[in-house]
Amino acid sequence: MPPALVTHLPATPSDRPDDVRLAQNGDTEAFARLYRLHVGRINALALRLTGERRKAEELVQDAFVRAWQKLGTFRGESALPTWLHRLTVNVFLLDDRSDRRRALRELPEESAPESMAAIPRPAMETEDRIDLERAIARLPDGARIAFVLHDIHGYDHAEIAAMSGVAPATIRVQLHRARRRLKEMLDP
Amino acid sequence: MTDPRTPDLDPALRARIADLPAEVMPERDLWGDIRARLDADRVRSIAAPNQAARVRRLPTWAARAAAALVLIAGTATLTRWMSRPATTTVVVLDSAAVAPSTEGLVSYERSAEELTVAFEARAARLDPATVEVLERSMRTIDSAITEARAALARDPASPAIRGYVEAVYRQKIDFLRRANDVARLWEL
Repeated sequence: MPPALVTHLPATPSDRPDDVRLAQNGDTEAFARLYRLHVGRINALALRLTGERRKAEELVQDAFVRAWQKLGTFRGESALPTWLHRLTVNVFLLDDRSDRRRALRELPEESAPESMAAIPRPAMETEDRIDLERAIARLPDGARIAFVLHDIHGYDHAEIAAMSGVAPATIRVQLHRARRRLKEMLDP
Repeated sequence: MTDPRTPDLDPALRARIADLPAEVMPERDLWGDIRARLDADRVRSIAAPNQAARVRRLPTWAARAAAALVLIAGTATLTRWMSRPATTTVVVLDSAAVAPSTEGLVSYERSAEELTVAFEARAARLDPATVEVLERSMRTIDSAITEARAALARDPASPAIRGYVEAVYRQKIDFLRRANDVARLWEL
């Protein structure tokens, strides 16, 4: 995975190398320790991809269940956090794939208004900038996915295209759309 | 931090992205839900041995149980073939058609009964959906036993059929042991 603006955490003292091997042999307690160690990062990714807490929780659960199922294929070529990260993205894009792909494919119509006027804003946020997390959550699905994967987590257009089955040019358009909308929301 | 893949990213937005936390903990502990799904997945793997990808990462005991069901399915098919009537008339099996237990099968039946009692005692504490999966598998095994014994009743001198009957019983006992292992997981 390419360099990302939001970097991985350094290894922590609680990162027990044996836990991966134990979990691969069916030790759920070892897998629970891996979950505790990595859930914060996976949840952060899930929140940004889905834009909703409930959907993020579902994605986190799906990702760890899939990780349990696929752990036997983990050979350590990449770091476990990197493996988990990519697996989560794949679960997100492939689970209910048609919806994700449709969202990425849906491009804004030329005549469609893309201004803050189209985005409802709570009263408490009218006097100042809304933070980036909330702005990301308000992006249209396709734009949000492209922005999170490309600008936050460092995937390139081709990788996103390959994972989602959507043309790289479409990803570029979604990214452009996301940046423009974010600029409007953050610096009105 | 620079990102060569996003050269056109607005510097202000880049700075905001760099400030995003790498970790965001879920608002509630998701491990309980994940653990329940892992346990349910183990049970399903026992009952669905054709899903090779799952079997590969299963603990040894579950993989053996899954393999046992494959053997049972094969045995049932074979005994059905061996017990086929000379005409195309469908034979409906009932208890009267089944030969009484021969001495050599009594010990198998006794072991199976003891394990069944142990499992039923634990089943009350299991998720009903899990119990349903296990019981459905048990019905498949019992059906195979019924068919195998019917074939033996028609040809009691056949060492081959007798061998199959014993094999199916052994698989039933093995399955019951695994089912009890699964039930014990829920007691932890």
